[in-house]
Amino acid sequence: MYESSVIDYLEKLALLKFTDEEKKRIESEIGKIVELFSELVNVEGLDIVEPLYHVVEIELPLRDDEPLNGIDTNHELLSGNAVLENGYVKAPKTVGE
Amino acid sequence: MHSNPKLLIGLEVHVQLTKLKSKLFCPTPADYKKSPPNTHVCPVCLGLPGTLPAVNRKAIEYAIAVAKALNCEISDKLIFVRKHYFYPDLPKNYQISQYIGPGFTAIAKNGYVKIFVNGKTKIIRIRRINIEEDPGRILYIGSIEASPYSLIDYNRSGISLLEIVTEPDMTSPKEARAFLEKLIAILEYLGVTDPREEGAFRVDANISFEGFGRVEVKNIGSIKDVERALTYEIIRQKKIVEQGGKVERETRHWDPNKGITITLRSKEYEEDYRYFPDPDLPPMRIDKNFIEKISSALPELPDDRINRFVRQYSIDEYRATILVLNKWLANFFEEAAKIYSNYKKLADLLITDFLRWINEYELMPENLKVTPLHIVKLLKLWDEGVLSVKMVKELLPRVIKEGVDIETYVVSSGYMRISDREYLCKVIEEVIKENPKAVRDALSNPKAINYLVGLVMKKTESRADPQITKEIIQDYLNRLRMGGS
Amino acid sequence: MVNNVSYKYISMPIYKLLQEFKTDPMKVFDYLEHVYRVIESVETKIKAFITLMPQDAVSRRVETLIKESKGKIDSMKLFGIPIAVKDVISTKGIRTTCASRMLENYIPPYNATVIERLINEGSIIIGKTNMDEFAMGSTTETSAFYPTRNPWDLSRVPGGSSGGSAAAVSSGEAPIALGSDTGGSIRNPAAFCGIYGLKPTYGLVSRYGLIAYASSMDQIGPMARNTIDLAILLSIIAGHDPKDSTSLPIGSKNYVALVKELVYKEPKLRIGIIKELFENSDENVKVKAYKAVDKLCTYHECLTVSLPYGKQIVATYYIIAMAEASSNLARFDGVRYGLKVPFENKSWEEVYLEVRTKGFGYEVKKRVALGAYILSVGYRDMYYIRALKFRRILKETFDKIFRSVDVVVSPTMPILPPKLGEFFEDPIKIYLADINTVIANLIGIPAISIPVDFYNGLPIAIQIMSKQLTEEILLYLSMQLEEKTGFRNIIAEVH
Repeated sequence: MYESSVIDYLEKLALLKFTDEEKKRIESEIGKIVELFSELVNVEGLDIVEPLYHVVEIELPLRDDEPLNGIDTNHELLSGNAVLENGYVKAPKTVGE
Repeated sequence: MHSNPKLLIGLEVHVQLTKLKSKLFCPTPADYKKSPPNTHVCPVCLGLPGTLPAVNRKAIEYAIAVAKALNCEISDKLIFVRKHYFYPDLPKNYQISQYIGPGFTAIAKNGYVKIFVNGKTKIIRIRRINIEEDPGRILYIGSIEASPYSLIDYNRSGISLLEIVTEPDMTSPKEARAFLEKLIAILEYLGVTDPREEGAFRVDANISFEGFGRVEVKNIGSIKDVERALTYEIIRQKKIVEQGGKVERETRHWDPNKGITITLRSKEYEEDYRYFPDPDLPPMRIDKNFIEKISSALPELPDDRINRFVRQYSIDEYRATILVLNKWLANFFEEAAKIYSNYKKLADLLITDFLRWINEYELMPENLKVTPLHIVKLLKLWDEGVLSVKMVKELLPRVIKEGVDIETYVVSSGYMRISDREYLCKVIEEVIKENPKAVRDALSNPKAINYLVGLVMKKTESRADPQITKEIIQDYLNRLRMGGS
Repeated sequence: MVNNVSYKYISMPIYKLLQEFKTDPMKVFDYLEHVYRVIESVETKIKAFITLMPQDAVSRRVETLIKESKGKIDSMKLFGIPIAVKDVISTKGIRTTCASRMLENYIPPYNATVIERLINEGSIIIGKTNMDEFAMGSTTETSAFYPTRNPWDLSRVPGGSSGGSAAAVSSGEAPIALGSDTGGSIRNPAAFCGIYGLKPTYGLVSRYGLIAYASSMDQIGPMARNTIDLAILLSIIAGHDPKDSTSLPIGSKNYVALVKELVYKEPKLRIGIIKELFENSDENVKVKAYKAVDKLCTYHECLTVSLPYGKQIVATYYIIAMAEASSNLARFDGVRYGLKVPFENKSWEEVYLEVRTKGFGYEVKKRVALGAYILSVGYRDMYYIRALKFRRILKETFDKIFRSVDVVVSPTMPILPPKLGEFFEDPIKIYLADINTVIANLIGIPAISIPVDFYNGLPIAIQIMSKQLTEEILLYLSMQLEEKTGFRNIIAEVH
């Protein structure tokens, strides 16, 4: 059984909340998951190797500084998915908490 | 608290690479500043699901050029990290950036900039330079506090930024200003940014008195405001300490209208950005040839130009610095210097009255009507005695504003210095008739002749040639003394 | 007859359909008629689709295609071929939900690169298929809308997370489909539904437009009822894309030609049988899988190889996947797209919290939250860095194995398709069942799932993995096995 403070911390990091029912579920699962993760603790030779971030050996490709994209005059990329006001995307307020 | 505690100022400067044609991670046109909102956007810089970044080669080249110009060590690998925080102006709720940590590094570090303040040279160290993407802009309905929601424009999202971080080596607002002026000049000379564009650079200033909490003042938009904000902070912090309080570590915001810094919502914990290398961007080796190619193509930088001006034009470092730090002015000077050899006189005029009028009229260096030739002509007429200092000062603003050809103007407006002896004699006769006491004084005291000359100048609106006037008056006085009329 | 249509016609491989369509484009309508009759007959039972294009809209699309392609039809590699696309791939103007309430009404304004390539070759998208929410799952049960059912047994899962695509192909609703694979999400459902599925080498197929789960492991791949169809689809979607910086600098290859050449030349390969992965499988799976491998061993040299790791592999996968998922899903806040909640006079933090709480299902929330934890200061070294180090050890282990063998083989899944709800109480059990498939994702090598047999009417498959960029070898072995088992163009009758 994991302390609820851990769940609260997880919620804060990910900016979401578990429902009461979900909380029950995760409280029972999280111990087993952490146990699974700890399988890595005793792997021989782990400390001396470098982490592997990219699985294929390629160099970062670079593109020319050319403005190939057009101008989205009619807001086709945002219409229908965002709420627009005079061309701006409406979003919740960021000051005055 | 000691009476003079050591002040530590460090700066973080975010510079837009405005000379790039496309954004950092997508080929969207980067010249968004005069465009309607949310038009310079694409799926990538909007952070639409499924999109991926593709890096702009020129942005990397510019970053390396800046790193070289700031005397930095350049990393042998280019690595991008994700910097995570939630905020409405950040489309992916992470910023693709750089950081120094296990498994990743910044493009450059450990550099320095030389500044010239109070007649002395000082080194300001550069801790690191990062390449990163700009977030979008947030606007409000009416006042910031009362706005029921915000409005976001993503035109700026994805624009290439360099973050240049210094060590806390500055010890006064003046030094901070000198550093920024030098840095901005270097960037302008490199041709990677136009610092006069709106929003082209933003500064976060860190200030503390040694031993006390460090205050960060965020998002200051101009060099002048940095100096003002720092000055304000010093006073504010001093006051707290004098009253026996403690300066807390916090983040503040500069309000340029009210001229004060205000607390942002303070955080109980240090933000954890959960940096990790961006899996969408494999690393790139930065090899010596790549750096060498960029290095050898660097234009003449401010320090070199200042040294050259001192050598080539025999002007002092102070004047050379002011010219060079205003690149267009240095260019103007050198053009004029091709056809005029009194370099000191030229420099003096340019860095004082000339610059003052340009600023007063808020003229744009790209759109100047006045040319180096105009100024040289003015100077030559001054040298020849056709124009007096007073006349030069009066004519200069008109020359600057309208680019008038001085010779034509002077002749047509009767601004010519009067050297016509016959005319001058007439004026002198009037003056002598009207001022018998002055004449008697001049007879006994040779120095008092200047008073009479002055009266003639007054009568002729300073246009009388003082040399000739003095000669004529002297002549007359001599004749008087010898008993003639 | 199967699912209300002629078995022979609906099961035709696409290379045969293409011949027909190119001779007489009107035949496309005939085939579509059959496809929609199957859909009508089975879809309410298996629920493979989230968005189904109505038949008349598709027919109109075909009319336009025929008109616009005059003169080019012969060169179009998928002319008139209907395809089902997993709902994790962006399709312009067609709703793309990732089986999540967060994107329930999201209509992408752009096409994924693979979709552009399919459209250019004349393919017809008939719908977006069901999946585990944001590809997080192995059974398609975490879909926010409904689970998909296995056409072979409606009480069982089709596998996941590309369960909808697998069910559609296996039931005849579509001849081919696109899926995505991060930890086995193409191979697992291909195995459970008795079809062929391939996860390409990491970087071979563009990820531009694939809604990201774990960026360092995600790949889009083909799903079909026979090897050649798989090869045709792979040839079209593979190849460098400048929009994807992790895309390999490889031009397009003709995998069909490469496979046919290998089948003709019949090179003898060294096959490594990963003994632990067989031994740890259910008895019924193990027996049938060994039998299938024996068939391959009549052509090739078979040796036993050992993989000295088990749970560590699964732990590594989940640590990396959760960490990357937490980052990739941070963008979902409802502002530019996605679930909307009323927000005037609420702070942005309140609103984001509400959107992400209502928009994400349990499994997604769990992985996103744990992922953030794994990356946070203090836990990063313990989990994330350690997992990346183990990843290198695993890669080196397989580099060594591939010096003594050309390919390795295992059952695709260690279990038979479970019943719906069977794993609800113990999620770790289902995580551990991923062990065979996550290997290929962790180290970026290609892997194919080949259906070989049945047990009690439930499909069993074997998985073959090889070195990076050797897909043609996998397809060659798949072709050989297909000939031997006759397991090709099989349609599941849905009861």
